[in-house]
Amino acid sequence: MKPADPKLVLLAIALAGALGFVLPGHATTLLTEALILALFALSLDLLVGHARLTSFGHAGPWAFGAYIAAAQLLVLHIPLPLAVLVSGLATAVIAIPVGWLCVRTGGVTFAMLSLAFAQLGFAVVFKWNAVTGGSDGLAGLPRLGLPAGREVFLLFVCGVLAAAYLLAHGFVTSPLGRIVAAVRENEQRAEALGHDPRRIRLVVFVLSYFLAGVAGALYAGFAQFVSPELFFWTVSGHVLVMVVLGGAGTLVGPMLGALALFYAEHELSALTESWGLALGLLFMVVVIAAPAGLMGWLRAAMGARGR
Amino acid sequence: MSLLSCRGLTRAWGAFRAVDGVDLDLAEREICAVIGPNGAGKSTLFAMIAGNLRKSAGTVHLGGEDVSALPAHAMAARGVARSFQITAICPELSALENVRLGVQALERLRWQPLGGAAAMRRGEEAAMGWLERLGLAGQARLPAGELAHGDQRLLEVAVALAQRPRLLILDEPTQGMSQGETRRTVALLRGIMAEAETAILLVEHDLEVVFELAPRLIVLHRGRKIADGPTAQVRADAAVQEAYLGGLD
Amino acid sequence: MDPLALFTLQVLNALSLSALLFFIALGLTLIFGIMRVVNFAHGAVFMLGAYCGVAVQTATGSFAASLLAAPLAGAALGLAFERSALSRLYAREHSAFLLVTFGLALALTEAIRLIWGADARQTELPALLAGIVFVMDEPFPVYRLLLIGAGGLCWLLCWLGLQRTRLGLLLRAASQNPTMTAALGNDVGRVRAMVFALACALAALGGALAAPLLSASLGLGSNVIIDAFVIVMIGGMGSFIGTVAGSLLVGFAQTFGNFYVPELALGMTYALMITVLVLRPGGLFGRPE
Repeated sequence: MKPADPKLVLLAIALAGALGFVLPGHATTLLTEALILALFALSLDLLVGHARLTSFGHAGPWAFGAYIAAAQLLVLHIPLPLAVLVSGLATAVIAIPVGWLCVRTGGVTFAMLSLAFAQLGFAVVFKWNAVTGGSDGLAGLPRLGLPAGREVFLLFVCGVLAAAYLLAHGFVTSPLGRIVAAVRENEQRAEALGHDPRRIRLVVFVLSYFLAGVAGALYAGFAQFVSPELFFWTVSGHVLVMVVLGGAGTLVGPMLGALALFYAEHELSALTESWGLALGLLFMVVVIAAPAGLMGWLRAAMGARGR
Repeated sequence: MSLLSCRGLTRAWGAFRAVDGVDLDLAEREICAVIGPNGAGKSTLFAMIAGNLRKSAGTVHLGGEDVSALPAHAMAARGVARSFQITAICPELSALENVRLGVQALERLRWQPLGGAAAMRRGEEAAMGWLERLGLAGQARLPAGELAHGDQRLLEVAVALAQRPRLLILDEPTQGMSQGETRRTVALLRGIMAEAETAILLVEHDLEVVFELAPRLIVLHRGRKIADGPTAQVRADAAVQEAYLGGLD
Repeated sequence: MDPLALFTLQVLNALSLSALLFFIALGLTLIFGIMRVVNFAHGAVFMLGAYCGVAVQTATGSFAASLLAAPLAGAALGLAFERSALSRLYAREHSAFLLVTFGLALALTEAIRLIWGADARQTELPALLAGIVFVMDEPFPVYRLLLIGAGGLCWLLCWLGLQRTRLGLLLRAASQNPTMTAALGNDVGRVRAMVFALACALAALGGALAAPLLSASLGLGSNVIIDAFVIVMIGGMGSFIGTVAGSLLVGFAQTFGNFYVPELALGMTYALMITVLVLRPGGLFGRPE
């Protein structure tokens, strides 16, 4: 599917940032969290949508990035903007051996391996009390290096999200990105074209984990608290739902999916006890009846033709 | 010096030998067809040459270099392109994009993770050229999976040609095509082969196609090479006639 | 305590845990082996069985009744889900199954929470089963021995069923070549529905059996599904003997790990799965995908 026009997306993100100066404080905070989740979903879309590698362990890099950021903020007193970048890079470095092990497999095995690594992360962080704070987590993370104020933080998040989107979009439309598409469509054909499918998948894996680490670091700065639950498979499931609901492979879809899901959950959980049940059912319906998700539905409504 | 030099190629599964000690030399720009009854080992032989299948024994030299142990993608990077017996195209990508991937295959820019728009446009133009030569230009923007079977087979050939390979391996390119499509394909291939800079190895079941396109013929029977020479000569060979007419196995 | 006796007790503990895990892993491997479906909701079905068991036992006072009701509930749910949701996806690629069963897991967990609330519940064992026996002069719960027996019986029945009955033959054929099996006049759709229902029944039964030991809580589903997947991935998806081997491996690793190296125990199962999958992506006994 042809990716949406990046200029529109950037404009939307800029508008969101501007909203921070208009909305009441509580709404700004919500919007900030929603946009961080949008970045998280964007990172997973590279893996699930673009490379078609279903991962059940995306909470792994997210939480890892969060903890690395926590370490930088608490212990090394590194300003948040730099800490976010460093967290992303650290996650990318870890993603190389993990990814190398995972991309040798595919399908279910890949999903289970990615899950296993994330759960392993949970186990390590949970038990390693001395370093990670164990089940209590690490609280009181300072937002170093940024002027105070929710609007400023929102602008910061928007800036990171915009940069990440440009990176993802640029990758997907680049020569290497097109090869990733070829590998997902027909591995045999990609091989016959001179590409090593494992290496290609590893590149996407590392990029995806990099962005997830960035998102996690942002979250650490946002919530000013990290705990082992960030690694748990339910978090992986949640972001996967966002990607599928929004429309895997479109980059924009998962971001919209994240926003939609976040706000829907926030509103509806206040209204009804059975929100979780409705979400599960809705998810099943979407997978069966509308596999292209929200973006697919939007495109059909607008009569656009895929590429 | 020959472009391709294979010695003693063997593929065994237990006691069963699908390919048994086959020698094969191919000069640059030479066109050679490989035929044989079902189960003779043709596709297995090609898979070994192209790196898709591991060899039980034997060596392959390409342009003087020992490539025996290389996997498929490494062979492709050295200028070996192939089409497959079972169509292997990228179904959701457009026909144009499929061929453009072929054009881009050996270019250095393929490792570029950002940008590259201008180079990709050039690639699209070149790809369009190939589509036009194979009569597929009208369907360039369609998802490749939506093309008719015969057109998909042609598309595969286009992708392989677009790579500008040193060695082109075509595995039953007209398989599944109607008589009319086959005739059209033969005419197209004849024109392209005449001017191409590539050596071609061709497997075909349709003997009419073989006789029209290939000046040299190799015959396999039960994994062994039983004939290798100019087409007219091999046609008349007694052993070949026996392999095709006698001994049902 | 005498070290040999201690060791023996731990072995028995491990065996009883393996037996419980076997119930849920067996269903998973059946579903994958025959239908090529990955059922992420299997842990939730196990949990449903536990809650159903508790509910029935509380209502009727009979433990045996709970062991009957749970698998029936599981089978009903499995049948309904297979017919309404799974059957529409067979033509699609496999990630759809992963996703849709994940949705079921979500929905089922929430439904259980709505019906029974967030508190953990436990079954009361009848006096006959609640006692202890003496193994090497040390006390050991009777119920755990029962679990080992139940697991062994289940294994035996399934093995006999697969090897000796016509239905078993059909299932084995369908797992190897569904297209051919259908072409030979067998209703593959019915086979699939049956298999899924049976697997869910087994999982639910396992849950009901586990309830006295583990207690029914909302976290049960997610705890157990990971273990079950580890077992099936280690043993090899679709391999009966692999499931047995995997259940034993994980049961022993967890029991002995928890006892001797509690710090590492939590991560041990995952490290085990990673090691096996990296060395043999198809699992110890399975075929690669």
